[in-house]
Amino acid sequence: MDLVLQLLFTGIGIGAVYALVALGFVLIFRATNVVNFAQGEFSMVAAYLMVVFAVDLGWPYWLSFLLALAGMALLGAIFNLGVYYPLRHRSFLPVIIATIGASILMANSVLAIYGPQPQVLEGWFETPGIQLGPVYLDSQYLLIIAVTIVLVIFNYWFFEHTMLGKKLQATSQDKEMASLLGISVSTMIMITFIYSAVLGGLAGILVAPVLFVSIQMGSTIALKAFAATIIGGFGDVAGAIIGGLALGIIETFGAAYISVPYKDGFAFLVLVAFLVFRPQGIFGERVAEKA
Amino acid sequence: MSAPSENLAVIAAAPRNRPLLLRHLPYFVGCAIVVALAATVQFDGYVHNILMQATTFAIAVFGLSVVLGLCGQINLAQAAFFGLGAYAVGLGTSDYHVSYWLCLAGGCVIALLAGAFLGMSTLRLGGHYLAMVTISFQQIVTLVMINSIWLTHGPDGVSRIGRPELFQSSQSYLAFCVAMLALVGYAVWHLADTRLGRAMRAVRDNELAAGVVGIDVFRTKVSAFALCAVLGGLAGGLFAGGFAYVSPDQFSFAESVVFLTMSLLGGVASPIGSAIGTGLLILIPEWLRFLKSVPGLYLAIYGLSVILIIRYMPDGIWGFFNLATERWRAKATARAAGPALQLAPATVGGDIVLSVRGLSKHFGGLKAVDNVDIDVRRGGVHALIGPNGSGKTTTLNVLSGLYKATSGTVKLDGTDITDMPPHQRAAAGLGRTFQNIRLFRSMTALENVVIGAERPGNTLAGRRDDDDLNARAMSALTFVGLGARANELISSFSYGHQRLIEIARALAANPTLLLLDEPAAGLNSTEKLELHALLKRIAAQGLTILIIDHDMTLVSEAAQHITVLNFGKRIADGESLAVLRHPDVVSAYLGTE
Amino acid sequence: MALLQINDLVVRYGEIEALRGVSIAVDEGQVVTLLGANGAGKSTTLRAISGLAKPAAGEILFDGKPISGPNTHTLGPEAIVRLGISHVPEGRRVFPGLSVKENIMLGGSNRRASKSELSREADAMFDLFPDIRSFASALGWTLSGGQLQMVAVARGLMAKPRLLLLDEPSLGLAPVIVQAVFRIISEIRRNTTVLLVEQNARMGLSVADHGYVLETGRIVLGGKPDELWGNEAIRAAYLGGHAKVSA
Repeated sequence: MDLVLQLLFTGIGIGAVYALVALGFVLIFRATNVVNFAQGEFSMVAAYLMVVFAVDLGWPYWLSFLLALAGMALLGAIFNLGVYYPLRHRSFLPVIIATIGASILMANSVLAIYGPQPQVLEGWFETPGIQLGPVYLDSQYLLIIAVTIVLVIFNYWFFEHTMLGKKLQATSQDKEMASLLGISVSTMIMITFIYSAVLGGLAGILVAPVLFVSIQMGSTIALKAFAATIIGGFGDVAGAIIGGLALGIIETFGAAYISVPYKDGFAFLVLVAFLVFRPQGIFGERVAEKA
Repeated sequence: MSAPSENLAVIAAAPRNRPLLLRHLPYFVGCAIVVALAATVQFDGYVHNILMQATTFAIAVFGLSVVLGLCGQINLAQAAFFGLGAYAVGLGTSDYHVSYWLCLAGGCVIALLAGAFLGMSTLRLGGHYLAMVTISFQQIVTLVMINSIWLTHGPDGVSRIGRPELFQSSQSYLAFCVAMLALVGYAVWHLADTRLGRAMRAVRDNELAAGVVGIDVFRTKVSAFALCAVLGGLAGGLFAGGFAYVSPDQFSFAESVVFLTMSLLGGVASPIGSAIGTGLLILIPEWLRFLKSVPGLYLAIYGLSVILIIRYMPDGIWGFFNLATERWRAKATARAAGPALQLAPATVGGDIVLSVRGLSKHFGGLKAVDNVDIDVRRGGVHALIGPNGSGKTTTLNVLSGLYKATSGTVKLDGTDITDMPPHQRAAAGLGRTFQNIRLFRSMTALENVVIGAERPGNTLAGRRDDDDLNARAMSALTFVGLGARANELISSFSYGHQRLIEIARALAANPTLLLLDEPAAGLNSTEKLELHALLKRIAAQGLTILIIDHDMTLVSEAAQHITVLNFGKRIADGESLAVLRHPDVVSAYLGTE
Repeated sequence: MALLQINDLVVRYGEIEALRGVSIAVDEGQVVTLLGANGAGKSTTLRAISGLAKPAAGEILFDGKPISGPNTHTLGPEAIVRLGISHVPEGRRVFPGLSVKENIMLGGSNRRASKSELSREADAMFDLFPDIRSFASALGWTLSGGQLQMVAVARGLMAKPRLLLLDEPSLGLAPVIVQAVFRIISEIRRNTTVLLVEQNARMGLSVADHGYVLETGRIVLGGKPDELWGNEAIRAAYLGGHAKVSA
């Protein structure tokens, strides 16, 4: 039982990371109808930026954090201008391939600049964790969960209670109609990419002290986050978050009870299972391409 | 030399006519020379390895040219199939001491099954979902390769991989691989002109129309995946024998991206493009060897080139070259006109060709079609009209199987087609054209119409070999007045003529009932007169036509019988002139107080 | 000087000429109706005005100034609505995932306004459309056709336009609802100039000061509603040359 609680805590912690990245996915998808295969690389680049600022340059953690997020905002803008926007009228296949190309470019650029050695990033807190009864609460995991909760609340407030959030929603529901009302669609898309890049970056910075900071961390996280969105129902914001948490829990329990080396495989198996048997996920609508 | 059975099957699908093989003699001669060179010229070890890699990679990339180039389906797991073949040969020869040929065949079969399995996911998914399934498959295979140490030796890889007795020396083995490349290249080159190849291209160009003309879209996609996987597996098996050592990192997702880039760079739709792309992307890094000294730089440039190619050169080098030289290539030659078009619609069901009873289609709360009855009598033209939003197009889409009816039945010539998917309705004798013209744009007029003629159930398709199909297609094109331009691409035809080609495609299929969806849309008055004349000639051959259109002059002159819909309900049905004077119809169109 | 002047407008979709040289004038304070059968080019005309379609030839002048033409920089829809032309497109296109009030508030996106200002203005809009007031927080996808039409028009009016482009408001609506919608149009005309596109000729002419009939991309008739309605040619435009009206 103690083990179960411990695993549950860890599962929720890692699930929260997947939820953040998944949220970024879903927002871009709803605004542009594009699956961004480079979403995980945003997390990876942000983690490396933290290493550069906080470890190599020795700047204070909070400053490095803000600079890393600023860097991600810039990267999101560049990504939009360089990859998505020029291809926005083409069919989905060129766009998918372009985002895959971008993910390879980003991952290997970091590799070329920084080298293949995984890096270590310290956690935010001095104390490694607190013992709560039978469960050991790792402080970084606590931070992840706390930040995710804050962010989910912020996200809800932003989209449901601000005019900008409404304009973003309108753009993703009917671009042409939005432009007829005077909403600048290109600006909305730019904001979406910047926001999603920052979300992904935040996830990467939060999870970096728990894993190693490595080139591969991006693609692994991304595919799992994608699995999370499929589970929750692609295109559904709440679904992405719940799917992320669910996947984190499944994966953690699976690693403990079934097999550690295949831990990463659970995400893919779940993904394939859902795609085959219930593509619309738990909350989503019908997925089949319409006539 | 015994080639794997898959290759034979593919070649058998290509036309067997003597003249065709003779026509391609230059290709075989050229290949024979290249193979001879490979067998006799002494390459140093380094160059030999490059050629070995290029040859085997090219075969894998040919696979992509089938599934992505011909069929338009994304496959990001080619490295996994490559790896399956490689490990089959590797483990089979090194651990289990099974003969090389058996291992190679076994690898191909495993890859084939895996590919077909992956292809089956297209039943429900397309687009980015399909991409994710293929990536997941790739990742799972990689995980198994790395972690199932008992089976695969894990990260250590497999060494001391064997070669066939016949080709023990590096020299002869390379020649063997080049020969395989030549054979596979030929098969893939001509796949495009086989029935399966045409079906794949139709699915790529316009999946909806492909189903409606009788192509089993799902089966076509599964075949494309299976073929792609087999070629990947074959390539992997050859690769393993060539390098005698394989390890999991050679078959990762990154390698799938490399294959994809090679395919895109050269031009995804053709094997020539694949060969160019592979050659360039293997040779260039060798010339720029310093790139490999910085880890990641090589692949970073790969990633960048993918983006640049997609943005600026989506058809790849070969596609670009084709476009640039178009005006210098010989003009499309005319073809012999063929016999006069015969239409022999089936006459099983008595007087009524189409019987629609209680047809309803609801979208949530909206009753787009509400309990509609229609009887289309055999012979002549029957029109279905109604103001904008009356449910005509929805009715037509339900009749052709693009929407599933909420309730009601549809009987074509006595056969209940209510639950049939589009391609089965085509087989039952239903033909249709689209308001927004759904032709297969990468093909010539003739190819489009041939696909129509290939409809399963077409009693006038003769022996279904190339000659008979072409003759039938030519008859249909001549009937609509475009026989002289049969070999031109769709893009060179005016809008009005494209409409005629679509009608010819439907006629070539010898349907029992022809549904025409707003055939006059976008036509000028001269073209409308020609259309009217064409409809009269079609009706004179005994084929029943159901037409939807807004041009009342055309409708009232061409149709003998009219059914009128408004708000999804039938409000009038009967002889044309009477219906057009009916007060309910007039107020439906002109409006009510 | 007309508020809206269109001269010899030509619009092509690829190869098809949807408008073959159309000239229309709308004076301030008028309701002008464009009639014609499906495919005649009515919606295309509105799309050209609001910036969704780029004309191949001809010019459009709003308040004397060119907004589209050979020497004019192409204006996108966002810019045109800021100039004071609001387009309520065919099919209503209410945002399905947003509430009625949110939809209406978004109609003010063509100007700088705070959320509370927009909220007040939306509330004022409900006075003009009392039937939908009770649906203020209902999501778009739950509404019926008639309700959607009212939301769409309210949203269009939020832009405080000088010219309102209304595309087929009666489409798919039952006759009773159509009457309700057209009552509202009669209210609106007091403050806003309206260019109305309708397939339903009778209703379209009932509110109009002036009408035009389009047939395959050309104006074939123009004049006062009574003149048009009595003209045999209008029947031919809709029902072909053979139809005769009994009533």
